[in-house]
Amino acid sequence: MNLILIGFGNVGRALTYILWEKGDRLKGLKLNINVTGIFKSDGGFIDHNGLKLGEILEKGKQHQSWVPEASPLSYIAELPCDVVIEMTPTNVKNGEPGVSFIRKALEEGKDVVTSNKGPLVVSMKELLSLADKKGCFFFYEATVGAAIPIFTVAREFLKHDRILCIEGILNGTTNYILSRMSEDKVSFDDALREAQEMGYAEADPTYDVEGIDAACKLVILANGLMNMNKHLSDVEIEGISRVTPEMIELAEEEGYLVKHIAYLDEEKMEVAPRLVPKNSPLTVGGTFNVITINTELSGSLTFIGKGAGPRETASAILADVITIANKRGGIKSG
Amino acid sequence: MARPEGGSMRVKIKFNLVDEPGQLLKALRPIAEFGGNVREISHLREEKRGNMLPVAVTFDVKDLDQLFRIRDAVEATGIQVASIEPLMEFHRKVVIMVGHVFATNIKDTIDRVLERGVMVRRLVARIKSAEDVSTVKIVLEADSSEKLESTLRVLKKVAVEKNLFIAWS
Repeated sequence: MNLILIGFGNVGRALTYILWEKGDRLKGLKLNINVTGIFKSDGGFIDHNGLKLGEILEKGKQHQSWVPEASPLSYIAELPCDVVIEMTPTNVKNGEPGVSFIRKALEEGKDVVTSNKGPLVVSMKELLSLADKKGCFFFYEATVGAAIPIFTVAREFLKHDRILCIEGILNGTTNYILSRMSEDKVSFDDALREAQEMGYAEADPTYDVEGIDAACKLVILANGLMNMNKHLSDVEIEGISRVTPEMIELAEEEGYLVKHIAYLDEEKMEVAPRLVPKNSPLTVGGTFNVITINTELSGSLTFIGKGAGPRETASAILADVITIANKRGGIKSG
Repeated sequence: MARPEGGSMRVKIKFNLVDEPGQLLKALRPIAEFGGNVREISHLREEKRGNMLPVAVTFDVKDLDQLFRIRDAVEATGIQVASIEPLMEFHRKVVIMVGHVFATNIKDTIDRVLERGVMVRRLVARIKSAEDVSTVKIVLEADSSEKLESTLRVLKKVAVEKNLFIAWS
């Protein structure tokens, strides 16, 4: 199976490393993976016969396969490729450059796997219907909750069922901050500073702290699991920057924890600080994510896992690739 | 959050107690032990027969299991349970507001959001100074969850208008 990787940041590197390190395990699954292109914003590593991943990780742009200014848009059609893996940075305004790469890949009849929320938040329905029209798979497990296999479970095991509502904690940074405020009585500012020092929060934490990241994931869940056509503007969003230690204390007196909960049903989509009973499965701590889906027949199902991290995200991507390989009956011609 | 934790039931149990000191405590202890929340105690002196004094205790339990555990524990002490009467099912929602809750007229906030059948069971405030924001908890109770949801919808609008930050159960 030939792959093209677009994006060589933390996730792209982690995936490359796993493909290199776990090559034997993948062969044990009768999956012979060959990467023919890895693209960054300023060029790409290209080899029609398959890149030597270990060497690329070691040498970077010094590697002989490096082609400056090479764009995936020119190479997707040319290189041997079954699946395009799109891992460029998230842009929730217009989804670019991810939308163009995914669109091009689907138009060329390639299956696509992405970890990038941007294209899904902006153009999910369009891209899914293009995939359908072209007979391609378009999977995005890594976009919500990293390695939590929520879309796979719904797709493979809940076809007969109907999802009524979804709630959960979809952002590890805000959960870390609220957990620290609750467990160790630190202020919001101190907890945020700590999250930044630990690398959980960005220098500009707005995207996480104000609930935009969680809202994006909620949109993907709505469209992906409940067949809706929602956009970011459909989500009522309240961040956690105004949570006070007193709020946490008063909540605890009633047996509640303050958690940043994303909620979705047929009538509303909401990301807001909520009071969650201490014995609820939603009260996971640290940077953990949790997703509960309430269904008509299966009742309530809850999934907990690390919601971020390059290896976890890369693992979800690889799981999607393996699913595609299985559905294609092994190897599709390039 | 549509989950059973928000709901509860209120019951009135009538005990026949020997009219002597310590008997009531003996009946109340299992209620507290198994998590019942006592609301009211009435001595029914007009119904006294000989040395037996009927006492009615009204309390809240989460569900029937909890109620039966309490009943069994009371009977195990030798006290006779004469009757159990369900009073009503009620629903509870806790809302915590952060902001200039008092400067923006908390009475007006509450008056605007409460509808018939919804009551403020408890209000707790943490105030630092007149300049600082305060944090106020309101425990709302109602005979239906729909009424609480409708109260919350109005409260959200008022909160936006008054720049109050809220979290709710």
